[in-house]
Amino acid sequence: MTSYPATLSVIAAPGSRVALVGSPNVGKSVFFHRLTGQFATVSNYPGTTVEILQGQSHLLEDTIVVDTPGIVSFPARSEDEAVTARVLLEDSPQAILQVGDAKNLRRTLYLSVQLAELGLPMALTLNMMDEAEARGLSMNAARLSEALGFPVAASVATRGQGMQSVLSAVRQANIASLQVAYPGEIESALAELKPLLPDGRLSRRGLGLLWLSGDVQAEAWLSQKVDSAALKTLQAIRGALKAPEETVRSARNAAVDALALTALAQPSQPAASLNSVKLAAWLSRISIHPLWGLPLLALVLFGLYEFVGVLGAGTLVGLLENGLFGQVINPWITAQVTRLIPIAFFSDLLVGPYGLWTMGMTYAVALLLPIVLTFFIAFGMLEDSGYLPRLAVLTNKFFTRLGLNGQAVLPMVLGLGCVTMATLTTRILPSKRERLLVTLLLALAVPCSAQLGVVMGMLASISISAALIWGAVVLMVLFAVGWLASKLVPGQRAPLMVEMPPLRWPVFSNVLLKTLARLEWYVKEALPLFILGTLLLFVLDKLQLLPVLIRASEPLVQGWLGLPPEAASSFLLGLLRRDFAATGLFHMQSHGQLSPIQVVVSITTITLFIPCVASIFMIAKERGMKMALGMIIFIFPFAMLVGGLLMRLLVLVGWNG
Amino acid sequence: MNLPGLNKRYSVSKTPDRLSEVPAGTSVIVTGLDELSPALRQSLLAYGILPGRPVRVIARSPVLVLEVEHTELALEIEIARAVKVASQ
Repeated sequence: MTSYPATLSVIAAPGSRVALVGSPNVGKSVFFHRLTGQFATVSNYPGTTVEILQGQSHLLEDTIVVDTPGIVSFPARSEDEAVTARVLLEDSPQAILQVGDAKNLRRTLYLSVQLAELGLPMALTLNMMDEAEARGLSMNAARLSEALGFPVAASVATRGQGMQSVLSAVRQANIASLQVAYPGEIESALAELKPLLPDGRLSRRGLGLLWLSGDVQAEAWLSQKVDSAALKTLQAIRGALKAPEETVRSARNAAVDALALTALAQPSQPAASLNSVKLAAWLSRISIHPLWGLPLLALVLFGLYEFVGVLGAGTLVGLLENGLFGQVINPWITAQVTRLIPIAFFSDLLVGPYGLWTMGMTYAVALLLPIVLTFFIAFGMLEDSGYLPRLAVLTNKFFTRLGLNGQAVLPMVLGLGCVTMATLTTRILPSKRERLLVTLLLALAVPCSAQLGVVMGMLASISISAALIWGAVVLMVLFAVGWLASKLVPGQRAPLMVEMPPLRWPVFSNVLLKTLARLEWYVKEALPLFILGTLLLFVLDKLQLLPVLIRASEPLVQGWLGLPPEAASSFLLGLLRRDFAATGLFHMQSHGQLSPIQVVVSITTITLFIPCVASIFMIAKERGMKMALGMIIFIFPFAMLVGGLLMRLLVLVGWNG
Repeated sequence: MNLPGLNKRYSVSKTPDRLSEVPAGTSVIVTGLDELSPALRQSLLAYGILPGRPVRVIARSPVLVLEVEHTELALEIEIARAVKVASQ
């Protein structure tokens, strides 16, 4: 790589940007973390819900490093991939660092060729070299670099190996010399297209190829850059060709095959795999096995429960809520506020029973934050381990019955942490129909961690059979409503297709970085909604509406569900946050005001409620106001219906704990 | 002996020409793709399931698991039915 003069570095100018581009699961985030250290800002890409990370790199002369969503190849296949295309087209970074998977050389090089055609300075790192070597592959980065005409460096980012050569590769990033020769009709179409394409840092040849391949993002971008007459000509040129995208792809693949042969020191030698690879392959097979996959899943769930349920919801919440907030902070603040603000209305607003501090903040910080924190850490580790796609395969049959495929399991698992956040992640699902079905199931039948802790505690104090009844009813509702909804919502089920990355040990620093980014989201997006919810309760209380509403709902709670009248206030709070209700019911149970049947009935009903005001806002944002309203109208009465029927059934069979 | 059942048995044991028929542990060469939804077709191509490329079937249940280069892909049989293959 010494053949590139370092003095001409494209990233020398202040404020220059380097984009990290590559397939999912190739270690882009680990590179990002290594290049930028702790300081990163998360933001939604304009006009989308896709997050991108940016940070200044002290290792690269304070260049701004942008971490783009994973893309396998162009054209983009999802909203995430589209953002990567837009970053390259609209923001044209000074340099691209492609992070490639060394063991999947052809897939990596296909993207390299596409990126090279854009004409931006670039460098490539063949990452996860350890995994390639463990499979008996060995690469010649220098020869590949010569063929491509830009620097190539091998690395193992998780262990920090090869970082120096990656840094110098980025400094020496340059425009590729490789040019794929396309068949005559494509080349002459490109020659015709070129004069019509806009001037700029992106190569006209690259833009022309994107146009001929029918790349939607490139089309949208170009239609803003050229006038309508030119656009018509562009369309005519493309229209005259027969399946140009296929022709372009075959020519590229031929070039990729040649490049791969250059790069592989021993071409296609049967892999002399290490024992660690064999073990991972064995574990991978077990994890998706219809029978043996279940004990492994149970183990994962048990770990999740120990970490989030016991450590997070138990120990940490105990320390924060009862200890720090309950005994130290809140008494002090209450004393200060009542001293400084003598008017009861205003001091109540802050520290009253529905005070913004004593209820809203205490709740969000002392109760939810530890649960959400531990859950995000656990989920980040599951993500990086490669287990989640295998879970999608394992559960595919179950979700097939609900008109979905196994990929629906990811938002569902996330829903066990926070339904509001899970609703947001339904966008990973490919079709509108799937997003709608999963959103409904999340809102109806997935208990979130805030509530799960309380529920488990209440049921455990009765009996195993109480917990089983609760679990069975919730699962049956999930299944019945999911099945029915999949028949009613028009559209076709999409078959499952998912990449299973190798099972790996998660890198803790990477998990931490992701967790911090998600916590930032929680504080910015979710916390204000809790404050707003508390304010709503405060206003209802001050207007004397709360007691009226409680009295109005008493017949339903008492007559239909067979609960004591005091439970009505808990249920009303449950309309805003179902875990408020769970906490209230827990209080009643511990004072001996609820029989075992009443506990099971009330807890089951509350579990089926919509999780919280925040999640309703999120459903409205993601699925539209009409959908949100429809779900409210369906879910609350339906939950009450199920609760009442359950009570009658339990009385009938004479169950009593 | 021109029983339909026998013919059927014969056609199962012949060399598979669809990815969905390839037994576990066998490598084949992709020869083409049938009509598929644009999204699925795009995904298959992006992962390197292209004419001329070798793929190996690792497992057939609960879904088909393939090795393409060194990537494992899980896909439902229904998708694999649209992938034409020839023995190596």
